[in-house]
Amino acid sequence: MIEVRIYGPLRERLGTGSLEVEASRAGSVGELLAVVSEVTGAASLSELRKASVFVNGTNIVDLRLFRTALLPGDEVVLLSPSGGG
Amino acid sequence: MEGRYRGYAGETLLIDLGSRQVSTYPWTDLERELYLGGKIMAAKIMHDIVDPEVEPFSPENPLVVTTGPLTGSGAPSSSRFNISTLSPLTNLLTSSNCGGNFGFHLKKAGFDGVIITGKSPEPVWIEIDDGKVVFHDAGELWGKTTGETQEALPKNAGKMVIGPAGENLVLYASIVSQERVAGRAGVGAVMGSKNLKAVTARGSRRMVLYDEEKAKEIFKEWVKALRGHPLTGVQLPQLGSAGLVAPMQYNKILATRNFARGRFDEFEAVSGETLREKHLIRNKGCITCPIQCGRVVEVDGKEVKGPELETLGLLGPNLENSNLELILEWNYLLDELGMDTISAGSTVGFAMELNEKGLWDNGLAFGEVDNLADVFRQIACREGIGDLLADGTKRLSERFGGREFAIHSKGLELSAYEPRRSVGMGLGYATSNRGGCHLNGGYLVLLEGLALNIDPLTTNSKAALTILFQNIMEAVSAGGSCLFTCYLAMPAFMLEDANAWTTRWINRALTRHGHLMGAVAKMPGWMMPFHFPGLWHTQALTAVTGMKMTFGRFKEIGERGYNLERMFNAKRGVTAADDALPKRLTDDLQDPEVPGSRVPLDDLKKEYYKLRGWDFNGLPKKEKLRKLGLAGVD
Repeated sequence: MIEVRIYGPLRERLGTGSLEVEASRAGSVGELLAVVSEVTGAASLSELRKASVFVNGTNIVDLRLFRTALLPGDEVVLLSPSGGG
Repeated sequence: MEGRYRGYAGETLLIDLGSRQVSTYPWTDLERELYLGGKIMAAKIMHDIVDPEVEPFSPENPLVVTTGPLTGSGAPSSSRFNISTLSPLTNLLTSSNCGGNFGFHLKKAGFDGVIITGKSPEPVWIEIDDGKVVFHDAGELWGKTTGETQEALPKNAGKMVIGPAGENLVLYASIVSQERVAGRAGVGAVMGSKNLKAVTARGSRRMVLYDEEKAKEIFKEWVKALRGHPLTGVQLPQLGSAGLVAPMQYNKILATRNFARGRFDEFEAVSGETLREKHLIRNKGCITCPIQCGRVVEVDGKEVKGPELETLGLLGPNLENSNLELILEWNYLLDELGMDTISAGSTVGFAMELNEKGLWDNGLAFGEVDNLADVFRQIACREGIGDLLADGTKRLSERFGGREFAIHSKGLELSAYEPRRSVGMGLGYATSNRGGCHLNGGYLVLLEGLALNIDPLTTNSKAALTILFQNIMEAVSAGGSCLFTCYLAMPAFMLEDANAWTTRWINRALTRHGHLMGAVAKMPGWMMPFHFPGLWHTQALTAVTGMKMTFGRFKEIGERGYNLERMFNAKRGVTAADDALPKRLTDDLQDPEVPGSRVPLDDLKKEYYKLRGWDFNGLPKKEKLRKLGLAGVD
């Protein structure tokens, strides 16, 4: 299984903070986001592809973006941009 | 004195508590042009009236309370007021900014600022009512909490009050206005040292704007922009600043265990999402603010203010505490006692590590937090170990050792951002005029992973960006606006698509073209005669005051303020050696497998001083001061 955790306004939008996706359905980040879009039915794939995505603690912009490969046991985190002070 | 510029009340009060004499302080149109208001106006007043040898608890140390021209003008998110004084924590000039309602009502009462000097022989509170000043005996208020005190004061007035911590000279005591707090660097202790329990202000004066129609038009568009922006229109209303906990965790900058780490395994329990899902009753905000970042939660059956990010971080992960209910209770307790949650949390975290290392047997331990409410009460009353904890991290390290992990800069405890994965924020902490403050430091962490995603470990461009942000935030604050309004300068298209090639390209370009950023940082104001997209302040200031404010002029006012504060502190002995961080952050790698995960402070400082026009010792050169219209302040 691949564990997906969601934070920020995106969590409100998707109506969930976490879900598990079978690794066989998500060989890459792009495929995983398609599954999340389908399962939650609350955001389109193109919307999810705009989030900050971390795979096992590393931002996908420092990996292979949506082609980043996923393995069983991986943790994928979706974040929204944030500010505070 | 009234001048040609609108948006100002026109007078600044000068009150001597010793003699109970009341007069006005002269402030000219030229000074309004050069220093605008708020913290920069206060820095100039401090420079002009305070002898460099004065001690923070001396009657000669004034409490300078100022507003900006946008305060009370109807501009969004502009109810702010500033308090500047000599900090008992840092022994330097400090400025602490506050929302609440005091600034708004002070201008309604007819004043842009109030300077309070001297010391009352007995507890006193001051009532400012439509231009008149009345002194009241505060004997019955002394000892009361900030909430009880505000409840006992006249209704429909703006208030600034201290609690027991301020009365007992806790070096990080705060001043409270409604539920908002001027928290940092012990401004409440200075108020307590004067036997001043509270100041209230009210009045019926209507502010005159230079071009009222144009101003209203700008305010309307500004509100619309704030409501439509991903940060001020979505994240902050939904989650408050508490929404930063999760992004900080994944960017490895969530200060944990006295800044030993940047991640906390149980972060979810103290996140903004958990706060929203389990405790949020509703949002709340300051007067005229469409953002509504405040949280209302329930503590002991009472609706109270919920914690902000800094409080969650320093009373949560920094103490290895995952009990959110306790943080809600402590947040309320510390506000009632009138004590800074950042310094309180950080000081207790340092004490825990001192105990763990056998340097001070104090009974405090990471993760064992059930009795901390009692410890906070002891601090406020200076009883037991509280008497030592009340002096803050720096003084504890001087007494017990552990300077290498005493998390402060210039004596002020750092905020909740662990800077070894945000080296620009590290530079900001070290160079900030008031000490280890993320906001006065330029808040580069916003670009280094939170909102944008520039390389957090490189030194490229960081000095230039830090200077730009420090100067602009200084000017925004001086104008009277909340710093959250700066977020509109963060392009929404980048925030709304973190992975687009344009976003990634700009993130890379910002650090790959350091020379360009340096040129922008050094560029004189006259070369930027335009309004910067998203920084609505310059348009609003033009319509409100009648000054022809451009981005260049605005940036230069901020730079003038930053240099003026630096020169004031230089007269009190500050040099490059004081722009420092503890060795834990500069020498120890956060992750041994990531070579760059420390703050390379010496390299960053060299570039910073060069771009600022300061000498190797961190002091502004005469030429720089002359160009800024500050000749003679040295």
